[in-house]
Amino acid sequence: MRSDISQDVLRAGHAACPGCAYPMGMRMVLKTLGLRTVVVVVPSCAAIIAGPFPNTSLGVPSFHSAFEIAAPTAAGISAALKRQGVDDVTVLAFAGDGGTFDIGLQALSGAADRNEDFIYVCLDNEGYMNTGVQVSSSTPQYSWTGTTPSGNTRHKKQIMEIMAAHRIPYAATASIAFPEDLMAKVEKAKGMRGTRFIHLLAPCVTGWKIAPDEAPLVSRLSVESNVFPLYEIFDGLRYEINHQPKRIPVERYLVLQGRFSHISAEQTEAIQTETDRAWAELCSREMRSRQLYEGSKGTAARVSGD
Amino acid sequence: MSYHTFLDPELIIPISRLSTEAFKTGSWSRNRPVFEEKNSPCRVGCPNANNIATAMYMASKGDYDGALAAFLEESPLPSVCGRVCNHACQSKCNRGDHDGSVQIRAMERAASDFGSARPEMLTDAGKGLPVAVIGSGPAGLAAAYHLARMGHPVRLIEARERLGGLLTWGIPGYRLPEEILNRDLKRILSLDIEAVTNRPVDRAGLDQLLGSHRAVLLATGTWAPTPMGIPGEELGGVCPGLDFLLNDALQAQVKGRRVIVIGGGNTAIDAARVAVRNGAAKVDILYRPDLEALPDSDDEVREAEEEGVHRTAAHPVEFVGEQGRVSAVLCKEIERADGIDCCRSKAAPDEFSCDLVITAIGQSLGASSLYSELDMDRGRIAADRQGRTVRTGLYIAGDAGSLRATVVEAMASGKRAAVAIHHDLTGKTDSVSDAFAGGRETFSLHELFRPGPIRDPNVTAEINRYSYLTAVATQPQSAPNLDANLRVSGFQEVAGGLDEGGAEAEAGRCFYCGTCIGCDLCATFCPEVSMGQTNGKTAYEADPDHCKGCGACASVCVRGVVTMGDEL
Repeated sequence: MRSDISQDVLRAGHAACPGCAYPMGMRMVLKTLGLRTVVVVVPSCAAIIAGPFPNTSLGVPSFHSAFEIAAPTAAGISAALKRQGVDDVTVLAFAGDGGTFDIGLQALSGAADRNEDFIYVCLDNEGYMNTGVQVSSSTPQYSWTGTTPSGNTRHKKQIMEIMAAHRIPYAATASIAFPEDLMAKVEKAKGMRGTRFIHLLAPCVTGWKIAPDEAPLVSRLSVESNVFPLYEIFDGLRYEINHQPKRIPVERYLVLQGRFSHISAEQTEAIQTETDRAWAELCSREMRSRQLYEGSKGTAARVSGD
Repeated sequence: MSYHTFLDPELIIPISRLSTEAFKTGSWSRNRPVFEEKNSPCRVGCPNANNIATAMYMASKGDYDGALAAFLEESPLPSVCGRVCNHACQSKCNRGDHDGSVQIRAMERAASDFGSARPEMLTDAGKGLPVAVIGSGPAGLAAAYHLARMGHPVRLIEARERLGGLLTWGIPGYRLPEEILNRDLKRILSLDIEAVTNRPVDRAGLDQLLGSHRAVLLATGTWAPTPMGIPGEELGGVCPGLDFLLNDALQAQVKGRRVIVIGGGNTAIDAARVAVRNGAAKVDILYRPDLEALPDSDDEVREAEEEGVHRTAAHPVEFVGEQGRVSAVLCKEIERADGIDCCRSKAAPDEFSCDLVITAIGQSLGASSLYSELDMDRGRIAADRQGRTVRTGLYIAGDAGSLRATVVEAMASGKRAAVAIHHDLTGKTDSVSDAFAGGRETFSLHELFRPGPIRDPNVTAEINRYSYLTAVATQPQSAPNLDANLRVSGFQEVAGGLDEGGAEAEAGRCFYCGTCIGCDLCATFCPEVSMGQTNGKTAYEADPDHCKGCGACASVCVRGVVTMGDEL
């Protein structure tokens, strides 16, 4: 993964906060996809990073679309390229968790239902950070935000299960703390057709109340503590866990983040219990899907729209 | 032609055509990353300042030639040290508390077993400035080796019939086989060194050497036994430890006898194990926990015990004998001190009966006309920390000038003296202190001759939380020792060596603290796309126009090379 800046697609000079995980993730994704890529950005921190008119940090053609329509915009561009006979260009949508879990969910569901041909990367910073840290349906339970001053009462929405339910060919979780894993997943997605979804956890220095240099550390801990396990779902059915975590206590993940500074020992315990439960369930899903679908690669893959 | 062909999209939507690189976000930052290679803690812990991190990195790639070359930068005796060193480095290893120190000594042995490399010349400035080295133990060999690498013609003078000093005569073959020592000696003698054996030097000889050479180094060691100073020491059957190790006839006497060895250090343990191998009926070590340093390595004690040696804490006060031969050692009771459980309880018997006693409580300088004009300090020849004595042109290295009697300390003192001689003869100002690692006597010769600024000796790489988080816990690799029953029947080497695969895996456990291996994490994680290696340089630099000073690069540098600098 030797990095040569001249090979980078993302450019310097963008307006992300110092230490933001968004450009780390965007950089790794774009570098893997290369110059034959068209990017769709929607209102989110990604749109800020993409640059103010007339400057852009994305070194490839890109399109700013409306908040809720990252997926159909990408689908439209993809269809138009095909109509023109261009088949070597990857269409990539960057959206935040607000644009994916909340506002864009219906449009994403529609595009995924039709198995439209694009890669969708959800840069999940667990809240509406760009507008000043408000709760989203991706915000984890007990987390502080501007609109949940005493802690979020809801659970984080399980977007991977929603995407799996569409039986799309590929869905994967990824973390900036595992660049090789992330880039391998993007490479794998690039080689497929249909709707491909990557859920990328991207810690927000401001909203998570962490130090500017802690995004890689916190990301690493999120995976190693099982709060955010790394796995893939093929055809919405076949699960594959990519990293056996160290199973570090969640407390070590939570204690670094100011947004969890108010939580009680019981709440920490509750998060640990839920994390353990979710991990056990993920493991059993993997085992079950291995028994059911071993060797039957692509059984449920649906034929792409065209 | 359709209407679309003629539509200029820019009429209906704005298109950005400029780069954000125009925005100098570097002005946001309060500080910048600093790329600085540093000393690894193991290197600072090694009295000889071996370049361990580089050697480990080479070995992890299977490049044992490169690993050996890295050891040869500082040390003439990697095969020897890979077996007998007390490995102070390993106790400093950043992995120690994580999942066990990297087995550096075993790796030095692996590098010397699997690799081949020639010593690198440092300069030819010493040409035409001959130096004589008296004594060919680890200190003399190291001094000769480094002097030759600095261009000096070296005459290495040894009183006994073979080179090696204590390595040849004092360390038994089951710890250091002869052919292993010869491998290092051969490499040293490939340099411009004239080795002369069977040539004891007396006072007149020394004066003559001082006349014919620009400098003379005394590395004669300490060969006189320290007396116990208790009644009965003159009895038959009482002999000093080093004499026992040197003398085959003495060793043959132990067959079927009960032997008591007095002392706690390496010589005592070695004497006991040699006695076992010569068929002694029973071997006991009596050590005085209040007086004696314990052996350098626990391994040796464990191995001796496996071979049937018993160790007892006791304080001998008298040797008693019948008809002029020793028959028992009388001991004072030892109180159990608080917190020290190595002491024996009061119920211990006062009298240890025996047929032979070997005293090994330390060595002293002894009397010699060589030292008659020199100052003394605590029983050793006084000198400055680089070995300059009061007599111009005469230098000292090794045990004769130091109380720290280990192979690696002797080698390090030989190296310091070699540099002092070189600097004094070539008229260079003394910049040696700049090349000291960790601000102690530990000193890197390679650092001194490397072009560019000398690595700050007082900065040791500190590794961060991320390093431990990303490191998969792995047990240190080990190789089994020879079975204890087989060992005692001969002088076969006891310690097993790692195989190539095991050594590669062990080297892979190293964090390479303070040494950049181009892992590229700092550049990969830079959110500003501004960290990288520029113009073929190996150092990573942040583009000051765009670096926002977030510190992500430093946070992922698992070797502690990239750190955040002070506020701008």
